[in-house]
Amino acid sequence: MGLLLSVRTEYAVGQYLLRRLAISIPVLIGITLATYVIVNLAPGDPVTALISPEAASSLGPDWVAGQREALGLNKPLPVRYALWLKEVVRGNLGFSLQDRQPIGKKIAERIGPTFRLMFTALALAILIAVPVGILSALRQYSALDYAVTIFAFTAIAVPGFFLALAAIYVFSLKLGWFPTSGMNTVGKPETLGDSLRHLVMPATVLGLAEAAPLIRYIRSSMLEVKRQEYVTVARAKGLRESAVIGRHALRNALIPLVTVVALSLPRLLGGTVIIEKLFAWPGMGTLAITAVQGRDYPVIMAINLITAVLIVLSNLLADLVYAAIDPRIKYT
Amino acid sequence: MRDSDDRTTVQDTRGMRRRHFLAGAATVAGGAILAACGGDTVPTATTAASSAGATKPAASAATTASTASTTTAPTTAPAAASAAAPTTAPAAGAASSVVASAAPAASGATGGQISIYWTKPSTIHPLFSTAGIEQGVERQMFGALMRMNDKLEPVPDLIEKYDSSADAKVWTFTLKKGLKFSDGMPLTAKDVVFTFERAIDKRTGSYWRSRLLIIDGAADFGDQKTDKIKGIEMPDDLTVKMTLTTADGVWLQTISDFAGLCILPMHILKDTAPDQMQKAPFSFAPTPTAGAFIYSDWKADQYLEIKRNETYTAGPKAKLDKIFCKVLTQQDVGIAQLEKGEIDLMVVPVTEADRLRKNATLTVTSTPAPSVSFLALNIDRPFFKDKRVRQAMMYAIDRESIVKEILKGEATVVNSTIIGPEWMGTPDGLQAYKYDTSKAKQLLKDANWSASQKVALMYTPGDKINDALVPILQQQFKDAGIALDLFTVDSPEYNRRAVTGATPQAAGDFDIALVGGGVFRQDPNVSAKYFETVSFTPAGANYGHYTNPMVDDLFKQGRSTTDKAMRKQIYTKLAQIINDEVPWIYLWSPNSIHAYNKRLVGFKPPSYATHLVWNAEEWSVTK
Repeated sequence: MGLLLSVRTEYAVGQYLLRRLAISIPVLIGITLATYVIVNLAPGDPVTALISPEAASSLGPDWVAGQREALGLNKPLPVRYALWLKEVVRGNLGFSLQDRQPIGKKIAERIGPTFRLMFTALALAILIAVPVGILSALRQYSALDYAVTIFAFTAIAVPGFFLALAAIYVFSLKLGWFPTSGMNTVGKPETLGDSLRHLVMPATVLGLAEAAPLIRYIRSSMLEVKRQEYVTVARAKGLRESAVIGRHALRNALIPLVTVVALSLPRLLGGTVIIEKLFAWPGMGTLAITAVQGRDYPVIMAINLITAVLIVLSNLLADLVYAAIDPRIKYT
Repeated sequence: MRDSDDRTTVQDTRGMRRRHFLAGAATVAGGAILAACGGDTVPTATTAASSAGATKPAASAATTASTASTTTAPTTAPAAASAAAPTTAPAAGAASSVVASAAPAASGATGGQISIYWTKPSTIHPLFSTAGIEQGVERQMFGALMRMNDKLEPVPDLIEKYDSSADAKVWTFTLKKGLKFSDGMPLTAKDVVFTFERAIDKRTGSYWRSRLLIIDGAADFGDQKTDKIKGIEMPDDLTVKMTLTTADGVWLQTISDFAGLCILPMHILKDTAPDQMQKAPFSFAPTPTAGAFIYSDWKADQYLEIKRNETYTAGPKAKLDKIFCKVLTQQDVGIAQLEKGEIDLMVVPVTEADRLRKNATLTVTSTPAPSVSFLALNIDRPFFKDKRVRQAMMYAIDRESIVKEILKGEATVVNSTIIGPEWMGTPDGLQAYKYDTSKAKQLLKDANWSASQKVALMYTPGDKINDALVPILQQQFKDAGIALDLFTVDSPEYNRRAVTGATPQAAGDFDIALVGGGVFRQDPNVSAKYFETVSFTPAGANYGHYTNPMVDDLFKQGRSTTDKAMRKQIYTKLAQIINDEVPWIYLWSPNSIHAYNKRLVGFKPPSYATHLVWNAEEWSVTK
């Protein structure tokens, strides 16, 4: 296609990237400011959040006041936000108000398990959704298509927690195929087989939930592409059906998949609260929910910031990939 | 295809064991919905089954008793009788003879591992833990001067003996000989003093501080006005002498509370500044320590692994190789793991007890918890001023049926908070407040209760018992003519409204609060913290700011004598008053239910439900 064109494209990409990144800085600051205000508006106090009323009354107002002082909660809100922002710019996410541990360390401990679970689930979802979605579109209104459609809607409609609990009950408690929860068997050396056995149920439950909407996307996209003129042209030229579908239709039908997958990346890192809780998975979702319950402002802010950055980046990534695979789309 | 296979399996199972499936699903689904709402990692304020509630408040006995300024020894608690006269502690004995007699009696061999249900710890540092489930494990790891046994009594742990002066003001503790930290360094009186100093130092921010301020000179030291605590002396390497500002018959309870004040290794921590202690890595990797079990590994949100301390000399060595404290934020997950044998021990909700009893691999125990569940009434509200209104509320609730149906009979209805210990029993002459809607209506009519008056019941959703209870209360109050609104808040907001938002002048921001807790079975004086005028929130647990000079006076009398017969008389009178005045709506005292795998030998239900490992050094496993 020519060297000239690609050089021009790279130049355009660089400028486009810079512009998008520049825009995202005020967006991120806005997000953190809004989060900071909202989080601090939530009723209750991080100092007493983790103790019972009994303990609060035993420890007395002096203790509460001392802890608030020590944690810097007595400073006015704008000052606290400015301090937080200053440290974050320097790359310091601060300390958890609950256990006083550095947040960077807390996140580092949990991002691995979350990755493991979420990427397995996503891979599973794509592996299921792509062939099933295409098959379903190619045999529109067949028994298979109806079966897939019913399955997809059921999977979308049934809440993940129910699926998870049913899976635990059936496959773990009744059939005994898999452990009920956790990431490894505690007290035994970590082996690949053991890790996989623990991964199967949560990843499948999540993967099915992710696959269902994907199947619908791919099916409708394929149906649309199937009716395009260039497909008819390909057929008219006498190409074999497999070539028509495989080489011409499929490529274009999978373009929307890019958006869906790219936009699910932030969610992948954010973890999933309910599934993590039910499978006792030591990931980011558990960290997030505990932070919210404990009014652990710095942890909430850190998770929010990371998620916001990921959303900005994955949007950008989706746009870039889109432009790369779809010549109809240009950077402007 | 894989998916349809799965579905068939589900249907088959459903067909064959429909009832089981539904029961299981309902059980877990309930919990899951709570999880979805962000249910239960925070110690719930309204625990009915004693899991969290019972662990916190034992301060009451100590703090309130210590305010009594008496010259004779005010032995207000069970163990205090022996404390008044210098005694050699029964369990301590000579270390060697204890070892000799205990070893043959051992029912299980050395070795093996056990996993227990644990919640997410906020720290593994004994100066900062607030939850009983953490404190129990910490005591096993560190060792304490005194620890709490399964009858709510303080017993020696690292000490050989304790003596107290006749007026219970001077206490002398003698450490066992040859104590060592797990790194081989000796544990001496210096470590004990260091621990007390750090706990008292205001900059540390320890939960222990407020209860230790009774030591002479502690307040000045805590505020950095002196560099030594005047009331703590070290006559020699094994002896610590504590002088208190006032006589305190329950000092032993105080230092054995929270599972026991753990002794820190001074040689490791002396260079850590007080305000850095909680942040230091030691908080999640506490080593070396001097308990029967020591730190082995911590995996965030997965488990704490502790192993047998091979250099332990304070008593017989533990038999188990390891204990895994698995971090499970979801109770239903724990139950599933228990049934599958992935964990061996946990506190289970009463609603699960019967189902788990049918499981052949499990043993289920039920023991009365020291706590009471109640509805705290805000007496500052004008509409609660008339005691007939409060009595009407007692009559309006069918407590017997609720205990039978919702708590599966695993609770005892109470009509005051004076429920123990044994010598006290349940006082005579109390109004039983049997369910009687017409009587409630009559009382409300006499009190000119307005049908349009709405009152709100504040509670934290997420506890199965409470969630089932509140709609019933609403209906039964409605039957009697009281319009009850349900008002759900999460735990931080509950704390603010009930306690920290209160001032000595005004009670918190609520009409009625559903509360559970208190170690009422330990001593009748525990109730003082809830009913005395000096215990108004936020400095005490008198949530509704109930005040009655007669009640204040009786509590004072009860603390100023050691004569049990006399005390019984005083507290019986007191119980009759608070039974008639109804500052709270008394509901019941729940049972603690523990379920454990039969492979675990030697488990005894603890006095605080969550102190699961209180006697773990005696545990072993079959096979």
